[in-house]
Amino acid sequence: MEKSYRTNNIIFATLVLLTLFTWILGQKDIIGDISEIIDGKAFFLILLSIAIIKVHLIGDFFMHLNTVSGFWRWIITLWVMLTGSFIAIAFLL
Amino acid sequence: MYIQESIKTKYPPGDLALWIFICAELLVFAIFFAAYAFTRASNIELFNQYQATLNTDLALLNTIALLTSSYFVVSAIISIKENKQKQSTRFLFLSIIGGCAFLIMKMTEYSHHMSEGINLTTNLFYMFYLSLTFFHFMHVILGIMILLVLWLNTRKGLYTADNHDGLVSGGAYWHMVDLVWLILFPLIYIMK
Amino acid sequence: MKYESQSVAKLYFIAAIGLFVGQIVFGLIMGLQYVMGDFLFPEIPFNVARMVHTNLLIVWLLFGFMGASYYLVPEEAETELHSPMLAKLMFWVFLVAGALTILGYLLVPYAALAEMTGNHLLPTMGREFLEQPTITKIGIVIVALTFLYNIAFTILKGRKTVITLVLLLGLAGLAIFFLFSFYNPDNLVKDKFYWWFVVHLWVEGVWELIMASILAFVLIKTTGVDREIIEKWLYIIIAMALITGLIGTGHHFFWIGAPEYWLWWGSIFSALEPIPFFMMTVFAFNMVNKRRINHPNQPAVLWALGTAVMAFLGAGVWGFMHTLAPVNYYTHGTQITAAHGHMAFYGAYVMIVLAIISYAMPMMRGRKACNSAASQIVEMWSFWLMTISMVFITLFLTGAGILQVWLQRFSDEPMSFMVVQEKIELFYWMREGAGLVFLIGLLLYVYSFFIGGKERTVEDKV
Ligand code: HEM
Ligand code: HEM
Ligand SMILES: [Fe+2]
Repeated sequence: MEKSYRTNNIIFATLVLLTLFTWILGQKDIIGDISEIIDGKAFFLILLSIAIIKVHLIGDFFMHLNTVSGFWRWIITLWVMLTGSFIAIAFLL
Repeated sequence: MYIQESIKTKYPPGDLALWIFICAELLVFAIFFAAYAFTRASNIELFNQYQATLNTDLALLNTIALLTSSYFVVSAIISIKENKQKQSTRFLFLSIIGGCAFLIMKMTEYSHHMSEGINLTTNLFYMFYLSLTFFHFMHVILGIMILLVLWLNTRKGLYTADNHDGLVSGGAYWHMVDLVWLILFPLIYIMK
Repeated sequence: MKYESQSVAKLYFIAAIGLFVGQIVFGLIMGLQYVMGDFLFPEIPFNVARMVHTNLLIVWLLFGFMGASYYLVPEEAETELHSPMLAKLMFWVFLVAGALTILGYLLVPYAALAEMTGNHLLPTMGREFLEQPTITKIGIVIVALTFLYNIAFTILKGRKTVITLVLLLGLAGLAIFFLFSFYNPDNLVKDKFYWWFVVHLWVEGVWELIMASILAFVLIKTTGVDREIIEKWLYIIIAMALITGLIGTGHHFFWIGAPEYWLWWGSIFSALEPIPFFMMTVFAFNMVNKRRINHPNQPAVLWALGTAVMAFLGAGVWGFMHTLAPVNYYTHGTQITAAHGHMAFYGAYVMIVLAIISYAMPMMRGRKACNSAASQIVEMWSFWLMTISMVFITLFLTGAGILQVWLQRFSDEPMSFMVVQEKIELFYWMREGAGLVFLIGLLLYVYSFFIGGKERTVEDKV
């Protein structure tokens, strides 16, 4: 049980850090004009990857899908990959 | 305990019917997100221009509010597995506070828009922004209502270490509300 | 049948089937008028026949829903009906009002009927499906309220189940949304807008709840599957039906002058409306596969499975086909709409009413569980004849619709409406042929009630 609490804390901290990172990427006054640092597509891909990782973490640990095997184990991850691909197609093409 | 947790099950924890419902809901959001992204693709200037008017600071706080709330729901479930009903009740209460904080912050955002006379017909960007966030907003309200029921049930001692399916199912719904926002936040507020 | 008072449903079911026959006869008349324009002119003009066809449809389905409620609510609540007397009285009130209205359509020019019934005092007439004179509408409200009172009090004094609560929610919604038929603003945009609050929110909202609960009842009875499982399905089906169906109304607001965001809201939410219908299909087959008993009433099970499949096809698939704004831009108001309207109404609401009639009628007529094997065979024939001919009606109309869209709206040199109608005449002839088969099926259905013989047991083959 101690282990469950610890996992929970770690996942939560990761999620918050990733969220902060996402937010910082959107702040002009902190990091300046992003397009001068990286190219727009890379910027988008970083944001999208972070979002996908976060959703996957929620599915695996908060929704306990890591205790499941087979189709349902991947249901959230599959959803976010599919949704993410659609978004990526629209943003990149 | 250890052994039990290392054995994998075929179906997700909680009620399968609720998982089917979650899938249906996720499908709705997926279509909404895709519609946003594809519409943006042919109106990039407009979307970038008005995206810049949104308040990303509040959105950050909102994301953290939902994450924290989800975190407390997980904590409540861990507690109930140790048969600590009191502690579980407290965690659930905190998660409800998190959800309410989200609602309050989102409402300040909405009232700000309203004072500027922005509505669904202002332009395509705001149409999507308002529709998507409001649809999600309604889900937060529904989720909080579910949490309230779970909180009351836990207080009454309805859940135990061996029997807490209801708590796990309701919790899964709340995490769904959370994870949808985790896409919505970068997509609408930041990505360009 | 466990409770004496359930038998009031019999009156309602008999009236329903009688009016159903009338509806189909007028459908056939119109079908012929499509290809022989002056058929029965001036006795029964097309617009009058159309009114009679659609209004009879609505009225007999309402009879069916009321009968279904009177039958299943006492059994679920485990108590006699609150007031069987009132149920009988309201039956006659509704029947007489309905008959007078139909006679009014047939015997008096519509404008004169409007004047006779004082339409100028509170104008509500002249809109599709809501053509009834204002006093008939008031009558419908009175009947509906009395009916709701009767049902609600039965539920309140007895056992409350998920099935009866969902049913009650659906019936109450039916009554509430009908009130929008009294709102008839001069502004044509608003008029259309609220007109759909009746039409759409009925068939793609509250009626789905009614359908789901009747289906659940028939399945519990004929499969013996645990109530808890069925209830769980009911919850998610109605949640999905409401989430998608309420905002899905927007698929009717594309071109009537409503704000632009309805293009999005309507497309997105209505695109998901097939989900609850699909869930009902999965639900029905699941329950029948998991059955604990073999019920001797085979046609009832057949109708229950049939309604689940055909509702998904008619509403889900044929609805989805033209629900996205870019598609609807071309198909709006064509024969595609008619194709969808026919299969959806038949699959979802006609068949669910026939399912409960099929299940309940033998018991109300004094049998233990079902009719004789001979009767069941005829009824199953009628099932296939009606269902297959409806599939063909739908296909022919879809064919006509696609051609119509192409010739009239899509091609480089669009032709005018009437020119196109002549070019697709063949499809209308075929529709009429399929319609005749439908009528034969329906008459067989009626005939099956008159076939006696020893009650079938599970061992007898059908
Ligand atoms: C059992 C359920 C349903 C029934 C009984 C039904 C019936 C009808 C009828 C009678 C009409 C024609 C209304 C009129 O203009 O007079 C209609 C129109 C329409 N229905 Fe349904 N429907 C059902 C479900 C659905 C579903 C689930 C969808 C979408 C997925 C859908 C999409 C549409 C659309 C887009 C129209 C407008 C067609 C046009 O623009 O002309 N329907 N429906
Ligand atoms: C249970 C069976 C039937 C149901 C539920 C039904 C239902 C309906 C509905 C809802 C409409 C209005 C459609 C709309 O507004 O787009 C309609 C119209 C019509 N129906 Fe039926 N109908 C049935 C059987 C038939 C049959 C057997 C025929 C003829 C062969 C027929 C012929 C027509 C015609 C010609 C119209 C008028 C379409 C128009 O306005 O252009 N119907 N029916
Ligand atoms: Fe509709």
